[in-house]
Amino acid sequence: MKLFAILLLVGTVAFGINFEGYGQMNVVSDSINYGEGLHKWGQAGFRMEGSNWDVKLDVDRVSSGEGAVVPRFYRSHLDTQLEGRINFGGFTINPEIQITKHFDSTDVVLPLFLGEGYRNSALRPGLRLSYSLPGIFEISGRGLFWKKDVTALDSDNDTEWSEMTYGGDVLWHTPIGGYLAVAGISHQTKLETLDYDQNWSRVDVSAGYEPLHFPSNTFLTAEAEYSLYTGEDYTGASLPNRFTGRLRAVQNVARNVMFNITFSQAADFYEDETRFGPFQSAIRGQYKFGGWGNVPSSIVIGGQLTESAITTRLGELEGRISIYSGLSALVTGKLWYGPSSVVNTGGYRTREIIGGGLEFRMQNGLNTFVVYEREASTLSTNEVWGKIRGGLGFYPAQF
Amino acid sequence: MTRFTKFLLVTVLALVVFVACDGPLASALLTVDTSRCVGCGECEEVCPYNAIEVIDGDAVINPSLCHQCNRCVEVCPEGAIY
Repeated sequence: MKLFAILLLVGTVAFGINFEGYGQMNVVSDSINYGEGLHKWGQAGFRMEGSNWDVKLDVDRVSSGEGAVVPRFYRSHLDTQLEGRINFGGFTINPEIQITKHFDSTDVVLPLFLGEGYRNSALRPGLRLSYSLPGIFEISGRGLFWKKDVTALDSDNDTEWSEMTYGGDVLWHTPIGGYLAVAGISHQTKLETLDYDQNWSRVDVSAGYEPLHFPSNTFLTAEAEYSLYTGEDYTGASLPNRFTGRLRAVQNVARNVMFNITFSQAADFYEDETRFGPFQSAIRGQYKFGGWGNVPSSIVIGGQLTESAITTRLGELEGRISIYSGLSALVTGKLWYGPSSVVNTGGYRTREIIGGGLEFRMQNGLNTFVVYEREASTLSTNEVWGKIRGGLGFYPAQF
Repeated sequence: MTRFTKFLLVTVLALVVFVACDGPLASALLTVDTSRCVGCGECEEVCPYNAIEVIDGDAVINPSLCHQCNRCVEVCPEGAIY
């Protein structure tokens, strides 16, 4: 440990290496069931950066119970991700590895309804190679491999679950303010023991236009994308090709007031018919105003409507109001309507969340917060519960 | 290209999509809005079919494994899956 610290110090001083760390610990508990509802989440990591390279390590630990009126989906796992990057003359080499350890063996439904299994762990090495001429041209290729330790419940055997994906993309920023892009991906899922081997691939051809001279502080992006799929869904039907049209607009009304508007509509081309793909329409407004020191105050109000095989509606409010030297009041509100997995809710439910709290940020990067939220949801009866969440963290800590 | 021509092109594009669709059938193939996704991983945790991975901070759905149970839509705090 001492040797590591000395090497780190020597490297930092002698070779101009930047070393930056962060950490965050959050705890959430609600009144549905205090014992099972306790959710702990911790995250820590560091980043070392030289003149043309960097190495990043992130560790993420989640622990939580399940059960109660509303099913909880958090389970227990430990994720460790190590990523490196080397740049030379426009080329970038980016190796990475992710290791996930699931605790209490989380359950999973095996493909082709071949029973249930338990997720124990996963290993995911990967490599990306890319080249870019900034603002003009970018090309990259990537491969990822998964080895998942999943045990079949019936036989208690390892399913020998592996997945592999590889692909690449080319992007050209045209001189008239738009872009053209072609991207491809091929993915294979294999469960050796159960004789399952499924492949799918997708090729996206897309074009976008961003007018450079639009009046009244309006920034508009229009995009069109065609995705060509091969492969089958879980029922054995061919995956449809998809066309998506998108419009994004950012409107600066004043120096501290901004609106972001998006609209998208897709069409899916099946073998014998064409169907509406997902539709989305959203608006978000942000108002920033003065605060103490380096903590600005802001209020964000947004709304979204989506339609596909299911409908969702979302209205949200987020506020941070600086009160005094690093101390801020937090306000949250959310109104959500969407699909429900809770039995006897008719397939859909509404959630109303309203809450408030305090956050304190110190000059050295240390921060802490606590928020209380009240949630009401239309289940078989209207259920109301409270939730308290708090955290302590630092970012960034520089050495 | 004038502003009016650009507006016309976008309008025609939207109309083509509407006219081309047989409707009211809706596709069940889910989509992830990468501009909203924050890579929190809640969808990955909830998916009973092991069909979602977070890669480079965005959720990626495996269309061969997805059973359209919509649990990911239900838990996504950002409304990024639909």
